[in-house]
Amino acid sequence: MQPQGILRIAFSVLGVGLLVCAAAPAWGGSPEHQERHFIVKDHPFVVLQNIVNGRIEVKSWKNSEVVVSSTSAPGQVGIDIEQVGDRIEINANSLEPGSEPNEVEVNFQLTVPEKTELQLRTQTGLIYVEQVNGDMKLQSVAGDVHLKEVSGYIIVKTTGGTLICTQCAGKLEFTTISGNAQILQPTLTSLNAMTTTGNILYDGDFMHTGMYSMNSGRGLVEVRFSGNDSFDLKAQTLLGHVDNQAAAFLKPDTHGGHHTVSKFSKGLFGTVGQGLAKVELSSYSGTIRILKRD
Amino acid sequence: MVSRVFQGGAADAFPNGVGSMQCKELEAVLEQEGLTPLPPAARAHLAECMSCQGFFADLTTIQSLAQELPAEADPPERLWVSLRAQLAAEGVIKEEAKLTPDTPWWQSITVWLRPRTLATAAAGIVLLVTGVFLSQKPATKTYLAVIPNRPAPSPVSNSVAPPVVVPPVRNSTVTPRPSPTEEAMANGGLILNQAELSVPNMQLAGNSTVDASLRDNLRTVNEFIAECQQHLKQHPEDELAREYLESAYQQKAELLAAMMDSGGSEH
Amino acid sequence: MHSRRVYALCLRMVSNPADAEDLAQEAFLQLFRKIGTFRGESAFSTWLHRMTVNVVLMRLRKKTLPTDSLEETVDPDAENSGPKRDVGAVDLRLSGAVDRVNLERSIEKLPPGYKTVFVLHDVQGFEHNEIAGIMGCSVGNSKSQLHKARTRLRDLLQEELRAQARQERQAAKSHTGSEG
Repeated sequence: MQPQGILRIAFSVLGVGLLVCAAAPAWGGSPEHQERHFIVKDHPFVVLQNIVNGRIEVKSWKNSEVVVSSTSAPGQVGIDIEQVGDRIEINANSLEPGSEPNEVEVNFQLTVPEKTELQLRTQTGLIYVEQVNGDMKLQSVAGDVHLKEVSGYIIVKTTGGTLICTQCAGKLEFTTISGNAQILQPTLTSLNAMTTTGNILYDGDFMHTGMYSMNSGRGLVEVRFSGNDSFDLKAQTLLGHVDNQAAAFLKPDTHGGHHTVSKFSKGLFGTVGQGLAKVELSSYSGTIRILKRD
Repeated sequence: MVSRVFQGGAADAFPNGVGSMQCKELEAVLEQEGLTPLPPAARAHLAECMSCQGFFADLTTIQSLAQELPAEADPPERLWVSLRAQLAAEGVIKEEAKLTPDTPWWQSITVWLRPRTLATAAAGIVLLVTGVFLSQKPATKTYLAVIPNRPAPSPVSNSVAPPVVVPPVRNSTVTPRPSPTEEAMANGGLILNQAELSVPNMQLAGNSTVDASLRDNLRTVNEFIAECQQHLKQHPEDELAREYLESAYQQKAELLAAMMDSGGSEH
Repeated sequence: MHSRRVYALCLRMVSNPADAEDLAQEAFLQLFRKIGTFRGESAFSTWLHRMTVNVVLMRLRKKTLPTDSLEETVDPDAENSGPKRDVGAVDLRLSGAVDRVNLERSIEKLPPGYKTVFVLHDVQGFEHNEIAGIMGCSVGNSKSQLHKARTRLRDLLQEELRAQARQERQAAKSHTGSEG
């Protein structure tokens, strides 16, 4: 073979090698995947304290079994799982000596029975839960929380992460400092959402006898209701303003009582329909917007 | 309320003897067997007696509504703190110490004096203090929410006068005493500030993203607290602003506790 | 899980979060003190709830004046006790007219014994045999108390509906009066 041909082949091999190296995961090797199965009975309770970073994804199935799958860089993370009856506790620890626990990342995928209680905690990763019916407490520092078709008593706490809750039912409590909240097509009977600088959007119906409270320090609080809704509204803001785009649907409050607004704030009170639910909106310096969905 | 025991209604209503069960008997069945499943005689009576139909429907409505009520509720954290303290005082439990049996005695003291533990305890105290003043009903609102720059009282005359409770007059040169809630809130704020002093030197989470997020949010909360305080200085009667300030303090307390708990170690 | 049910039960029995905390704490204290005596003769939840109910009823007995009674607590032999249907009165149908808020308000007004059985059965989902173990009564008595609780609630809810209707009529009158 000609020297030029050898050189060409050598460069091609090197080039391919470089491409392969570039395509390889940043973990420096193929990721480590673990999967464990746990048989459970009626009301499983899954606790996941992910002290390292990473995504937690939870979906449901019909089986009486909890499957815990994890993906991480090889040899970096130790996963401890303990089962006592229907309670399953999962902890992730860094195996590398001297490394900071929060520098390591592991992603979890949990498959659980529909009626499972969850307690999940992570630092920066996304928490995603879909079609699980059970009480849940979800915490994240900077990561977002996405919920889809879940129901139960749902508590979500983030420092800066955003909550997106689609078609959720039950009771929801959300507190955050700078995160936002989007509550879309819910069937919640109770909502308590509070953010200091984030925005809150509620786009859905209000259940009869439900109680809904949305507070933002500086952000926007926006409610979009439908023609079938029935609620008493109390909206007040100190330094912001109330953007009432539903004046045609708001009647004077029919459920007794004169609402007193402090002389320092601007308020809007009224009733839509028969006023069967109770909606309280508040913003310190942001805007409160009410409008009817088309 | 006058109560009457129903007697013979069904017989009057059905002179032909249709419906062998009477209302009283149906009630006895409901009492002993519950609402479902109903025996055939009870169902037959319900089909014919409007009064019992209404009664049965109402009980069913009550049962259905009750099933929607929450069966569980989250106890507040302070319950566990208090329980733990009580159990420890009684000697039922011993406080968990993260020490091995071989740990020398002087090291065990060092563990307790470790700054992070103290900081966590301080944050816990902050949360308890916050819980205390949040549970108090506010009194007359004519004073500043924040105390630190309280002006000195005006000089009194040489003749010794007993302390006078001055009514809340804004332009008075004598600064009236703040209400217990305001004092508690101010004290809570001071404790929070002290807890925050240990934060700058901490490597919070060993992760720059989380660290930055926590610090940014602390800055956000502090700015908001300052804004509320400024507003309350000018409008001390503003209840809504006070509520926001209380919430902001609570958020700050929780944030500081999270920061100190998330693996903080001092450089 | 047990702790949340215990706390929820205390909250329903006294309606005051501070009192409920005290009661729940007392119940858990008892649990820790007496855990050594639990022999597994009943389910743990039954045993824990029994302690909770005892703590609650003891506290309520201390608060009640001597002339008041905690009747309708556990009174298996009282044939004539409990609410009766007032068949002559015009009944307002509850379905569609009452909501959870009305029901919760009415539950607060129930006597302690009725309230306990109602909350344990209809709200928390305990079976009668479990309730009998918790309350220290027979299954038949548990069923009877439940029925009486529901009947009493029906009366309370109807009273509330009538009161609401009266208020609305008065509000409508004063509104038209001020316009005229």
